[in-house]
Amino acid sequence: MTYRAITRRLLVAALLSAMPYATVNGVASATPAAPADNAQRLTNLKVKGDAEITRRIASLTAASEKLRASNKLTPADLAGLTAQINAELTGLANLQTKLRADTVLAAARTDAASIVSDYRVYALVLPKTRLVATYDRITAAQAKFTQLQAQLQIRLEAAKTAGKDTAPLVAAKKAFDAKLAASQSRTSGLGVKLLALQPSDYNADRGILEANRLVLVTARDDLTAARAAAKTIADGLKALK
Amino acid sequence: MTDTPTDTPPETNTSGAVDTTAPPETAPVVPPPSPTVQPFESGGGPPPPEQIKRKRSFGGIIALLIPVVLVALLAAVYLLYGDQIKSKVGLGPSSAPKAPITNYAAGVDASLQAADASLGDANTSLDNTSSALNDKAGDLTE
Repeated sequence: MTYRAITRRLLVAALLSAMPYATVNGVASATPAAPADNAQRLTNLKVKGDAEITRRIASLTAASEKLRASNKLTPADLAGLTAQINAELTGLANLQTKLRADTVLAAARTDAASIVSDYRVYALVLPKTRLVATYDRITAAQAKFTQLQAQLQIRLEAAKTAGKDTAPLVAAKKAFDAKLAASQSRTSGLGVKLLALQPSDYNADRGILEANRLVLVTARDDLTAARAAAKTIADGLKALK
Repeated sequence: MTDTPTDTPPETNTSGAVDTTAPPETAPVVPPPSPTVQPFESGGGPPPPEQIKRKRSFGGIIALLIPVVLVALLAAVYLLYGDQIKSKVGLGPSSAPKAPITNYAAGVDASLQAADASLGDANTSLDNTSSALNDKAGDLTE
């Protein structure tokens, strides 16, 4: 056995012999804190939790004021969102009162955790409000495109009656109709579905809002394609003499 | 031809003296002119002021009625024969050939613009939604 091998074995033995000490020290650090520490932790938790609740109440109040000033939402969606925000405000105010009165660290921990998990103000409620507003705007755009659809149909029929060659324009009109129908189909019932989303839904699926936003994006893209077809038809009608 | 005196001389008595006791002859009483209005044409002189006033008001009514009647007549003629007159002077639709419809896209542009505005609104809202989903107000716990 060489000198090098002996040195290596001694090092391994020293490390193995030191392990029990490390374990004991690790466990010792996890032992329950002294009562004075618990009181400080409780105080810290209550201060931090109170501030987080206050911040959420301010954000919800601002959103509620924006909703009241908005004229883009349908009355039903406006009423639904307002009711949900008011419910969150009431719940958070009650939770704040409860947290301030907490005297046990464990109870304060539970209440502080519920600020996030039971209300999901930033992760669900506020983005959901924007999603519903976007949904209403897209359905309003769909209504405008439906009016445009009727107008295009009338003009194409008039041109055809006058003996004009409308075949290329009719093909573009079919593309327009298909894209508009696809957009309407994608958003059908989406407003009700968005309004019904609760914090528990977000807790179960963190990507639930993004999935619904992508539906709105696709519906918007369909309308954009329909708009391009409408422009083709309009230009073609203008070129007819 | 008999000479009939127009004036009776005052009675004289036989002595030739004038009998002053007899009442003098008085002229027959002429009744005052009747207050009833007489047409001014029937008598000479200026008519009374009331007649002048009535005459003027009557003339004013006539002066007002004449243009009204004229306008009514013109309106009636226009309504009855307006198209024929206009066509004869070359202003009526019947005289000009109907212009062919050349703009088959009439009204489409307005609808397209309305759709564009609505789509732009949806785009803006969608962009805001995207940022709202990505930004959770700096709260990583959510």
